[in-house]
Amino acid sequence: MNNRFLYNPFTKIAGIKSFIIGIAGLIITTFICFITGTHFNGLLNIDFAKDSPFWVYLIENLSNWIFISIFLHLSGLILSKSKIRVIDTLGTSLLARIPLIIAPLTRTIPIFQSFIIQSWEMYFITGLYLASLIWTIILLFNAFRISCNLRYEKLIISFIISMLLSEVCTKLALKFLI
Amino acid sequence: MKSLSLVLGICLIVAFNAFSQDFKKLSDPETDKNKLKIAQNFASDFLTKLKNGEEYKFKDEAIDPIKNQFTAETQKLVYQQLKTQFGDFQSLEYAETWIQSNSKAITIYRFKGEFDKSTKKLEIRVVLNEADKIAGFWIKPWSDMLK
Repeated sequence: MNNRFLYNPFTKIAGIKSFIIGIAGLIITTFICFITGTHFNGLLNIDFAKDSPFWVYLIENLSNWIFISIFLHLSGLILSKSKIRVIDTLGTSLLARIPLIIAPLTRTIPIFQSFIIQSWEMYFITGLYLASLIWTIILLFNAFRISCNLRYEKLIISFIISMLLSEVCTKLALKFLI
Repeated sequence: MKSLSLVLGICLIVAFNAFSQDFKKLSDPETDKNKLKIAQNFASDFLTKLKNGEEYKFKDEAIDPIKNQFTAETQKLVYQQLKTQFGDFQSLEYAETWIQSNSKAITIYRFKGEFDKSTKKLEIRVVLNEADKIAGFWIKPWSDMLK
């Protein structure tokens, strides 16, 4: 496995294959989020609280994925001249979320289960989360670029707008559903 | 370059740790069960009384500022706000205990409270002083980080 595969696996994995791997990743991530109390309550947010039933964590992870997929796919439909498949957008944006498992997985270590605010544990977990978030955004960007075959300004601007819109919609949906 | 990053990393961890040395989480065997019972009984009795529309009458279990703060009027107001936002109090379960590392002057007991309109559990926090008197009482959203 070369370095390129880590930030752009979509030339080799796409379509139904990325969807199946991504779904498995989503289920495992949600389960670890539940047992460690790690909330992804927004596309860019993380919170630590063992306070909710499993379905809350499932809705958080599902809505993050569904909204970004919808907006990326719509951007592709509007801006791309290529034929775009829904399964590609859904699958690759799901696969792109796999690095987000790192922070909840680290929280299975007892010292990271509950800690004081502004402690080294908090900074360590937040740092790990930021690194995994950057990795996820790079993957998401490459997923969008390949699935929708967009380039240059169209690609960058529509990606940023999709991210912003999905963040707003995810926050609203979570407020309404939970 | 690698060793410089390692040294910087260790320095940062030590610095962050120095800021957070004020409190220490107690393991189950370290937790004084009698003190825990005082805190748990207080929180449970207080919220059950308010749920039933009654006033919680303090005796000598709390320090004076707490007694003065939680007047009958304030109790009613506080519970009304809780009920509107989260629903009626259902139950509470013990979660964890923290002490001040240096002085051990106060002990923090954290409970998870269930309210019937809320899918999320709330934190019910009771603070005991050295004389085992209630010196603090809060209800707020639960966080795994002690704030």
